Amino acid sequence: MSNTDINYKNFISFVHQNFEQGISLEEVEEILHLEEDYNKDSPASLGKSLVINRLIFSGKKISGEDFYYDQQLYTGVNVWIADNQKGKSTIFKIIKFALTGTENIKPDIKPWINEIILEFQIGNSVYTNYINWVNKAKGALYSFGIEKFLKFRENQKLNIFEKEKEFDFSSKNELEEKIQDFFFDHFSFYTLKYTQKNSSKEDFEINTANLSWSTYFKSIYLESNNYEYLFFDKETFGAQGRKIFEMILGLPLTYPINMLSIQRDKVSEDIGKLKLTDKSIKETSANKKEIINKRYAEVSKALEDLNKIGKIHFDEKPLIEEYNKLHTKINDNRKRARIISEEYQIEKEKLNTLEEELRFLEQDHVKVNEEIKRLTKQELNIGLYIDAESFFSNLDIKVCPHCEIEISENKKEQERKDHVCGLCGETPKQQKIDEAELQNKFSRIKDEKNGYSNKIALIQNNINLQKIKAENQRKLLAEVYSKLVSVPSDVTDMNRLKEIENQIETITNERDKQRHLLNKREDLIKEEAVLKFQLGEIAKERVTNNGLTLEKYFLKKEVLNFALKSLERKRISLNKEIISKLEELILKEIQAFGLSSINKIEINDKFDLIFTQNQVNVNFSELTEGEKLRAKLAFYLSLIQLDIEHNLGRHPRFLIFDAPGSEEMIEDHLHGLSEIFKNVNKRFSNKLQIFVGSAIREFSQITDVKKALVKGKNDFVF
Amino acid sequence: MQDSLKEFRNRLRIIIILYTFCERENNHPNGYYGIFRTEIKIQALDFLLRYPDFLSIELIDLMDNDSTINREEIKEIIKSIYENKEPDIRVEEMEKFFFGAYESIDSVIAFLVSIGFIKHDSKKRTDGKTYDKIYYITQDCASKINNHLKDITAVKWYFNRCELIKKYFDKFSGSELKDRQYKYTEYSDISYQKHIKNINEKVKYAFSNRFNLQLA
Repeated sequence: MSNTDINYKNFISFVHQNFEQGISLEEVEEILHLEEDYNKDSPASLGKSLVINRLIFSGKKISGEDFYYDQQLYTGVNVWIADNQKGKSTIFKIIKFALTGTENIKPDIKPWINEIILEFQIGNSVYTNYINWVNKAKGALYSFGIEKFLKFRENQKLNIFEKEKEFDFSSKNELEEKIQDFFFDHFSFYTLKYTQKNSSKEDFEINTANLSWSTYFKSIYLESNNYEYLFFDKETFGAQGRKIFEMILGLPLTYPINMLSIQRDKVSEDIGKLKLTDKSIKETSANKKEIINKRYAEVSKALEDLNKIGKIHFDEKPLIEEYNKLHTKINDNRKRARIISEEYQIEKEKLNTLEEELRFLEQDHVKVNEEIKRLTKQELNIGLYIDAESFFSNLDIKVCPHCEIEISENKKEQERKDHVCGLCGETPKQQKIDEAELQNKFSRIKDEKNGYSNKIALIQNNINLQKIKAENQRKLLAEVYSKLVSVPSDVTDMNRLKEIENQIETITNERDKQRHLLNKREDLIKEEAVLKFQLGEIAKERVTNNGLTLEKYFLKKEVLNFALKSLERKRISLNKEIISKLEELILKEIQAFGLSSINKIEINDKFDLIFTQNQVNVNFSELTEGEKLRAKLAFYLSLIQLDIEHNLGRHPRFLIFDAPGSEEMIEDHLHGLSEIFKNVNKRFSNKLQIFVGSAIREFSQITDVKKALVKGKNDFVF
Repeated sequence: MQDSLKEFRNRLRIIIILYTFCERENNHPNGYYGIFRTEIKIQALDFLLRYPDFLSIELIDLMDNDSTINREEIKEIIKSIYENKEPDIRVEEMEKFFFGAYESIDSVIAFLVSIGFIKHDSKKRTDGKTYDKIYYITQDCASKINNHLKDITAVKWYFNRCELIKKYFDKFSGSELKDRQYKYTEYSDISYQKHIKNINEKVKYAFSNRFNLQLA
């Protein structure tokens, strides 16, 4: 058991003591229980360091030019001197990719690279990470060096060395995942968590995020854009900077503090949710109660009204009896009227027939009469002719009517003899009417007339008979008609029938209404009971929801708070030694780097660096740019020295400084910086490895020649 | 045969009209029995003779306008006309010719002249048309009518009717009679050469109206 360890059981008891009244020991343990040991963290150094031995990467540039970069690397300070934008950062980013599986290589350069082979060692173990990057990132981490890798690859014997393969991967994600496990295992790192609250005010949902190997790698690879910060630009977010610090130093109780903090955040989230739910429940309940109360009042009122109405008795029986009687009466009446009407129609038809016959007879009478008239006239005229014609025919022609000269006896004689006219001397063509023929015709007319007279007498007789018949028929019809009109009118009865129908309909409607009301009454009684019950339930709900659950959460939160505070307090005491050693180292380095104005370094409980500069406490962000750079350098070198000198902390003793200090840096500071690196190279030559990339030519002096890759002006690194 | 019968009746009617309506001439130098003036009057009187229905309405009209006329007599005359069915059997259809009932009587007059029953005289206008026809009835004619024709039963009706007409209408000139006839649309409205319609219904109505009695 390390001297920084705590006794878990004692801790649980200690916490429980504080909450004895409200919570059992078991419950406290349940709250504070973690999957892993509270003493997971140890600042004791593992004595391991990460050293990059050789980097090979190759591919084809956009210009079509093939490139093959192969560089041997050494412990101590390695430096790349080249102008800006000539590939220094790309080298570092390729290394980062090979070591973490995450990359931020410039998108235009990325497609150039076909493969990466990186040899590194941890302690005495040598590894080669081979990444084929033509398609997806594919490859494997072998537990031997590049030479061997290249040799076997050349001979296509790599597959023989399955046992010497740490792992293989077929994607960036897989590489990232597996290499994280690999380094976590080697350096006893693990994932610390932090919570992020959703930005929405009403949303209590929190997300838990993890600090990964690539996050911790930020304490190794100090990128050019991060010199403003001790770790990186988002270090305050989720206190990631602080967590990197805790992890690198292996500060005791980091794990339980981190886990319990997450627990506490989750409880807070639950409380928030519960409050919100409770609030909404309350509101819902209030609304619901209001609605139910309103409905309850309505239902009660309706029931009351119904009871008032009571049961009305409807008696339509007499009406129905009357209706039936009337109906029968009307039907009988109508039947009678129909029979008489039929009889009337028959008799009327008979009369019509008689009258028509009479009409025909009368027409015949007229026609025959006309004939008789015509014959009488003919008889009269012929009779007249027969009787009187001789009056003229017996007279002699005496005078010419034209000249009025008397006709001579000779001419008269000649006329008698020759039948020529005494006046004109012509023979008359017109025959005289034959007397016998005339007589014949006369008697024929007489006969004909007699025939017609008999006929007309007969017709007249028939007419008389027919008239009598018609008259009798008329009398009969009049009798039937009087019978017909004597059938009483059913208008009054019909009206009464309609009236009864309406009354019965009204009764039916009323009865339906009453039936409906009675049905409704039952429904209302049921509904009233349900509403009553619901109101009771709401009243109960309000009590339960408000109470226990939230209280339980609050208590849990309090337990966690108390435990955390206790652990943090404990850690301060446990950390005291390591922190003060670190403070000393930083101060020493910072002063060695020429920041003599800073005479005290303090690392507070939140692991912020507080610099006492000219008697004033300032934090890292308040330093000038040049100060920040040196303070940061001092901080990281101190972390490594802590391990080297005191066997404390777990930094892999590998640092990459990309473009520390710009061209605009004042001469003194620049000079100071190059001296620092020179100094570090000397002091820790084989105990650490530092890569420096810079455009500043002066930096080529900071290390041995073999460790410096110096490119000419405008030359590319690869 | 019908034409011969009709022509006979025409001769009979005209001579009876001339005989009945002539002005007696006792001292005519030519010894004529009588004188009859104007053809129009012959035509007008013949019309009354041929249409007993028109005669009846004319009688009613006369009666209506002359209070001296014996209404009872008129009533009996008309009643008798209709009882004897005269409008049916005695009507001699006459065609209307331009201005009223007109049927040429020239051939009848010529015949009567040729047998020495009448002589006729006329004045001629400058355009050659005759006017103011005068008919002289001969003594021979009068004697033959008196001695023979009047004895024939069948002819008696003509003499009686002419006497009746003479009683009521002799006072009118031919033109006056013609004008009276024009009052009746059945007479005046008839188109050229159509037979004149009977006015029996008019007579029956007027009779019933005047005498409160229905005609047969």
